[in-house]
Amino acid sequence: MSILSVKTKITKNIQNNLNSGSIKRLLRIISSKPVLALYVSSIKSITDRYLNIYTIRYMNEVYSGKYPVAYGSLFLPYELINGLNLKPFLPEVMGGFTAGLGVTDKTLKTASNKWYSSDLCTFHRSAAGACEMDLFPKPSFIFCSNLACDAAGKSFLNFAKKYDIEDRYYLIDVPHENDNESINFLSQQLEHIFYDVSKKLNKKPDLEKLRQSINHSNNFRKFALEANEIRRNLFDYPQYFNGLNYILPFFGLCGTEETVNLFKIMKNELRDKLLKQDKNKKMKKVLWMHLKPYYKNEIFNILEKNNCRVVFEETSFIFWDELNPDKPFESLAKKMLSNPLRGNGGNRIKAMQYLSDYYDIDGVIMFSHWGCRQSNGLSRLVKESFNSKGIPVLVLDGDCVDINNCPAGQIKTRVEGFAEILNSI
Amino acid sequence: MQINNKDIIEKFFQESVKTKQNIKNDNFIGYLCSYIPEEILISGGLNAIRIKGDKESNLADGYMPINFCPYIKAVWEETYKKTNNLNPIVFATSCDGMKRLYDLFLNYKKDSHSFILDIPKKNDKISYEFFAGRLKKLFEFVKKISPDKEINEYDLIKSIEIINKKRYLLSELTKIYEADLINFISTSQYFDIIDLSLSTNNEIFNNELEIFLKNAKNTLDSDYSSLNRDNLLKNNQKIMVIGNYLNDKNFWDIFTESGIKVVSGDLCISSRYFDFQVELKNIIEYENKENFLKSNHEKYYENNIDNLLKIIAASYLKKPYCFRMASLNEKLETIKNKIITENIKAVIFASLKFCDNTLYFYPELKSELTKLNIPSLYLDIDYGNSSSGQLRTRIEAFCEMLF
Amino acid sequence: MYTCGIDIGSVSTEALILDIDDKKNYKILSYTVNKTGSDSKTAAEDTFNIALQKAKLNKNEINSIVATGYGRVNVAFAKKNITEITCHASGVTLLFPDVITIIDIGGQDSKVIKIDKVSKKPIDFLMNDKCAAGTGRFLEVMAKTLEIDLENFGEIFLNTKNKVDITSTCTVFAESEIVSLIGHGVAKEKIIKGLIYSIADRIISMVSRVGLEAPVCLTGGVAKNSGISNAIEEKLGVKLKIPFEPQITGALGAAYLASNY
Repeated sequence: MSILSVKTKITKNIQNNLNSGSIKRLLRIISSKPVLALYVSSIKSITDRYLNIYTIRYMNEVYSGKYPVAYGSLFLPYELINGLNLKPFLPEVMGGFTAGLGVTDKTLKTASNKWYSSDLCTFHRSAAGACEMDLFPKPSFIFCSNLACDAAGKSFLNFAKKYDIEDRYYLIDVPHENDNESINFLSQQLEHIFYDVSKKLNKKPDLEKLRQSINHSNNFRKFALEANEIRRNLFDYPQYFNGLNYILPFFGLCGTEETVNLFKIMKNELRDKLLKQDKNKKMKKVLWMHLKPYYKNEIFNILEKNNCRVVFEETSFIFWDELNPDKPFESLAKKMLSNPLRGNGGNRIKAMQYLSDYYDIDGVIMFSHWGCRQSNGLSRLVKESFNSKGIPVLVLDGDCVDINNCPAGQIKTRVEGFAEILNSI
Repeated sequence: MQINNKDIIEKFFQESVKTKQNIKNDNFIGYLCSYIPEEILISGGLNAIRIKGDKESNLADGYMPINFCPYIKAVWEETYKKTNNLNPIVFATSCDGMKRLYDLFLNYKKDSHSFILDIPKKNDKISYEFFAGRLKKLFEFVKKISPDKEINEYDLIKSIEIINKKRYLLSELTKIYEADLINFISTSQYFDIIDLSLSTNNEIFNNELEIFLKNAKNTLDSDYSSLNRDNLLKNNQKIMVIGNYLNDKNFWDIFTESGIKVVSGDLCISSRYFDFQVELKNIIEYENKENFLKSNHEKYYENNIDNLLKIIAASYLKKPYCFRMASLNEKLETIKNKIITENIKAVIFASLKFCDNTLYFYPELKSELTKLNIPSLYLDIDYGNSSSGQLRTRIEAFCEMLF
Repeated sequence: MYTCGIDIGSVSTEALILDIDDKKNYKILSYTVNKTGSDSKTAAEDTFNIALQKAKLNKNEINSIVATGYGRVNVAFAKKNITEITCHASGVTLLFPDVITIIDIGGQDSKVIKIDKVSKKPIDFLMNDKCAAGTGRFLEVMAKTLEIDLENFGEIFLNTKNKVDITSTCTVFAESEIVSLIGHGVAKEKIIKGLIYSIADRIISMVSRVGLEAPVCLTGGVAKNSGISNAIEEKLGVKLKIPFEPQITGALGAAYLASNY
């Protein structure tokens, strides 16, 4: 049986037997050594292969019911959650997975039946639908923050209600400004969570484990920084490499040893590619802002065919300083506050300008995910700030999750038109 | 059972219109969220005006996405068009949209005075303390732009008392309005009065509203005695409206014209705006109780701006929650209790379009209402577009279905 | 050499044949505007053939063909596909060399293109979001609802003083809004005036996002409707340049660019 047909079979199986039991069974089968080896055998990039093995094994653990699961929104200090020995599960990322598996017609319909308005973000809506359909593992804790949007806090509150664990719902309130009062306010909240969760788990607070998690995070940061530096001159990427595929380890599994390994492998593979790269190779360099569609789409192929390469993504940016393992709560608070999506939009624009200089960017694509108020509200200013430097910006209207809200033909015309502009400069 | 209320209400509006005329263009400060304490804004002698925005929004479409809060767009329309003499504005981190509005303001209105108030999402001690620190910054900002640069604690206490009185009177008005079975105050008139209170000289408004309430009570008391209360109760159909910044006369007119009683429920301009007090005696919760009791009050307040700000901070974070707040359990309970105790027949959930915080609340509310067997109608509204035929049809059809 | 540009839009397909020399001096030999219908492949072939007949040329005499528009990938006999953004810009620049902002209102989408003063190439563009509001299709549906011929819209716009506000920008909702306005006895002329303004508003907010810089050119089938062009001129405060045949600028640009391949 060819690997392609295995993958198709798995996807079909999930689509046809959409319940957590079948997902659990499937994960158990795929994560067994021989099947997993077959599953990843066709993947050429070793980083990509490691990512797949790691993610599948991880999801198998999460669904196994053997460990306490913690739902979390994207920009949380996962060092803390991993340091508490909880298994992070990211509903928003799973919203993206539902798109990849082609089950959004069912999840979005369920959400709509539950009166989630179609004006809301599909990451959250699809996750809400999946949760309602009991496709997710049962959580022991729920964490979220207002970084970067309001929607996470609200949809996660509804999850807490569904599982009747509102006393285990923690909203981390990230202040608008970055000053001493904010650091204090935020680190107090993180400290409270650490001790409160330990108490609820009937465990002694394990500061040593937290320190270990922070050390892992620092090591991951180091390798990621090296990989990011290599990308300044790299055009010749491993097949299907896309920085936007690394969201789960970059955020949710930050603080684990596996993420350290993953980024070490990535750094090495990219370095080898750079060494072998044709010195004369030149492509138009594109900076990608926000997320991408997680269903099958042609955007990145179209760019490549037209001599354009996404050389960096907003989500791959290491925006924080090294963490201090002796001051875990304070340094995690500082990490959250240094996120460019916190506070005034000027912070984000400044960070993107920095990246554009660092990578010598020719053009910017800002994916405008339907209903993402916090990001789309800034698109005018992003455009103005880059245009004033002579860098074209494509604000690409679409939907990361709902393929029906993102017609391929229109996307193609816009991306090709943009590539024509970049190539004419 | 015709009661002539025309004189009383007209007199009130005539008198209180004066309050509007009193506000000159240069002596007010604009604000955008019910979590921004009016008492701080007015403490240096300025009037505080809730910015309503320009509802004819098309210029703002060039600056914000199509699917963006229509209220925020309207505010941008208004502020962007004003090229000179823009009054100071206080923004808040109410929601994602408001933050992006502030970004535009910072970028295109660099020369104007503005401040963004960071509002916590939780109601606990560390949040009070953090919020009090942010209010201190707001206070310093107000000092800088007010005619009276040296605001002392007495000024602040006086402001608190004025706004407390306004809140109290509006709550009293609401009680009368909700208990009123003979349509003495119509839904439109009730919301007109609230609308007036949002942009007014508070002292004059308070005086007029106080007189109005006294007259209204007298009239109602004398007239009720002649009416059959049981009969009236039977005919009175109450609908609760839950939503956000629904400040549009046309919308309320639909109910008035259809003869339906709207119980104000839970709106940005109703309970969330006035159903609380800044309790000066709350100081006991914060400071050493014994010290407080030993000292005489006036002396205690000396140099105690910080303490006053702490009380304001706690009162505002405890007030009836906006959907933006972290936990909404209490809110759901309050709504459920009100439905039961006040014999509410149905709920209209009316949200300005694209308000994420509000929209995520509806699935939970809907399932609770279904359990209570209370029918509900979901409306999304374009600010300033409430008169559209479609909306009217939906509301009227819903009411026909009910009664 | 002879070149051909074929622009396959969602509603109409245009073909244009150029006689162009090495110094890029050109002459338009023929052009055709045709309905796309359900099969864009056939439409492309048919339109191409008509243009050939008009130019009195044979297929094999054409040196280069560029296809553009939504159906561009379906034109197997084209040498190259170029997006309508680049082609429109090129076509308009040939007709009006000083134009900086192009507004194109097509059948299913509308776009605003900004042209660089020096290089004469597009530097920025914007297309409407996926719904049909602010497009030719929107106007057609509304004309049908009102039972008034679209061609009369221009005259009605000029002769009607007052308008009613049409607040819905969604085609479906606007349709029901209009039905309800008719039900309330509002004059159709006023509704038309309101409709035209509402489309103009949509277009203007797009122009504002790209930044208005005159001279401005209006192209696309809707440009033939004087009501729309008048409303846009009024709102922008700028006189619009409109090509002699506003629908063929894409095909013209494509034919011109074809000489490069």
